[in-house]
Amino acid sequence: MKRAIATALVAATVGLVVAGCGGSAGPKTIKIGHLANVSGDAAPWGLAETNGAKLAVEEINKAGGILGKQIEYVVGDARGNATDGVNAVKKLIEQDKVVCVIGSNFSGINIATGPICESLKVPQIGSFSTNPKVTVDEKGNVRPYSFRICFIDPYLGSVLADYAVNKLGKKRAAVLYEVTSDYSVGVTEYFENKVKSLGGEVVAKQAFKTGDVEFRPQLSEIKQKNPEVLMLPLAMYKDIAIIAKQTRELGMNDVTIIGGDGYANAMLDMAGQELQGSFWVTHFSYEDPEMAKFLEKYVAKYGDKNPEVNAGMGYDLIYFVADCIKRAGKAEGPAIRDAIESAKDVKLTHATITMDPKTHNPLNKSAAVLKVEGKEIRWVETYAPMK
Amino acid sequence: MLSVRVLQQLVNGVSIGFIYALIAVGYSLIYSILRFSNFAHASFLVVGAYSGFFLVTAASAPFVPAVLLAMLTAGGAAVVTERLAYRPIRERNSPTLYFIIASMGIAIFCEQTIIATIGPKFRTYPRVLQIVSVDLGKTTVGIMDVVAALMACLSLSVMQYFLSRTKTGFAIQAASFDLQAAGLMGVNVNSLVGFVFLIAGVLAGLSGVFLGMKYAVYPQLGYLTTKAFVGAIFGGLGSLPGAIVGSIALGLLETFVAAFISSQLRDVVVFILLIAVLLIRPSGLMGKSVEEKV
Repeated sequence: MKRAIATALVAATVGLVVAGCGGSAGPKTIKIGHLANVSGDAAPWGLAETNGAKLAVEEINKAGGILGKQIEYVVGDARGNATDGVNAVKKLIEQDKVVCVIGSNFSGINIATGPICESLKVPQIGSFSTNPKVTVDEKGNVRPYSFRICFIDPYLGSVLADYAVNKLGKKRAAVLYEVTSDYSVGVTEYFENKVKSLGGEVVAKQAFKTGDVEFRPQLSEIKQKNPEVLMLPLAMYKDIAIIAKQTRELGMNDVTIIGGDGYANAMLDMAGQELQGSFWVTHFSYEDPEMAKFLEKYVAKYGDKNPEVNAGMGYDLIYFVADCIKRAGKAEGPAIRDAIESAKDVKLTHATITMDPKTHNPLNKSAAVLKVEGKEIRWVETYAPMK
Repeated sequence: MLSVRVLQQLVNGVSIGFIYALIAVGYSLIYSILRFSNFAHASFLVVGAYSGFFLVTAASAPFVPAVLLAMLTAGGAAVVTERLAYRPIRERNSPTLYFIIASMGIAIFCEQTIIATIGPKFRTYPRVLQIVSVDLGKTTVGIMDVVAALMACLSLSVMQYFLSRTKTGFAIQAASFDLQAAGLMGVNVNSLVGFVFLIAGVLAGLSGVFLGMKYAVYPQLGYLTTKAFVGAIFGGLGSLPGAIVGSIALGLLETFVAAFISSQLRDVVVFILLIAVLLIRPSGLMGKSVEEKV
């Protein structure tokens, strides 16, 4: 009798396992995990990102899902740190059985979760993890299961160079950068290389250290070289404002000031006049008509009229994954990974994505170009480098 | 081409030097009487910068009275600081080290209080003089810098006249040789020291307003005092002409190193030079040689 029960149990268990594996029919839904910081200090960004993602999941499911299946969306909370991020990713993949992980917006988390995704063969796509090490390891080899949809910070330098030379037609560039900042040095390097490759010239390259307020020695040197644009790869709006003032004070009134995403409205209080007509680039802007449509839907659902950029990125990440799963033809980690790697001209709301198989960064991605007009920093266009 | 470069940097260097000089003179004055480096000098400067800013913006006071009032406020802050923090130490005949530690404490207290109450935001003075610049051939001179330099010259000459021609000036000079002896000769030491702090505070307040107009008003604005301190040592601590010469020399040196050698190396070169000066001439370029008395 005991034996009969044991046999029945074994049979039942085997049956369950087989059913769990799904056979040829597979599970009825496709599970996508979202590694996001929905609690802790970073929650405002994480929540915006998941809100955006949920909106996309709803839309796709209403339109019939992917490969005839509904998306099941699961959030794993990384709580803003790598330890919780690792636990959350393990739970998403091992227990929830997600086939792809989107997020997070922190490089430190994605660097820690990369090896787990690799060993469990489920790809991850960072939303705003901009550190190059997220997708490339110490030795310079690409991490096979780690991707990102944003561009890395230094890439802003390439966009700026392309915009200055090809769009503004200004070939003589000067740079004033901050030596102790990786961001500043990285953007400068990419800018310089790109300007050269486009036939322009970086006529002056001057540096300063954080805390400095007197930039006229460097700016006087820059003035001697007659540049047409002055690129400021700076993260602090105070530095940007003081440099702009001193630039004009030295009589460089025709030089166009351009810079990365360190701009802030507060700099216009300090040097609004001097910064008129300056250009700034960043990931994307809700003023872009394409993004404005998304914003309208977002406001209708959540009421937040001024969401973080993460909202738009969460939304587009879901559409990007959906496209990859469709092209993979099946909801399995390795196949999706290949589809992400071979993504070409995938049209999303904020940009069109082509993945670079060598770096797992988006290739020649567009960026939003903003311009200071009056008391505002307005979106001008979404600009993709020509090549 | 080279001459234009040099000329422009000369203008830049001198304009920075004059601001350093305004700070350095007050610094040097206090040193000559109490024989310690008053790190709280940075706080007087910041008080001047903020009070000038709020007088011009919030109280919409006319510019010149606002500057004068800001100078007085900074002077008042210096007198209060002396009365509350330094006089007790002085009366107990405590070691100089106590003064230095107290002054560091005040500097930190002041910065943190501003961050906690007014906030860490960068503020800017309304545009009065700073945007105008004159084009001399290919060299540009900011009107703001000219005014700052003139004001510095004016207040420094008044100081020099005051020290060498008035009774109080003589008393200060006497006190700078030996504070105790001056006291024994009938000089009211407490009010004299208070007066010295008033002058130092007023000058710091003026430089605070200029720095605020030139750059921005923020809690860490006083960090520039370190440079003025170096300028004062360069010229010889305790000597007023020395403080001025040292500050302008420092401004020029910094500018030329940043422009023609490397801005990364600027501080390295400047501080190596400072050490060299101290090794060769321990009393600075124009300092009095002070003999050890013990």
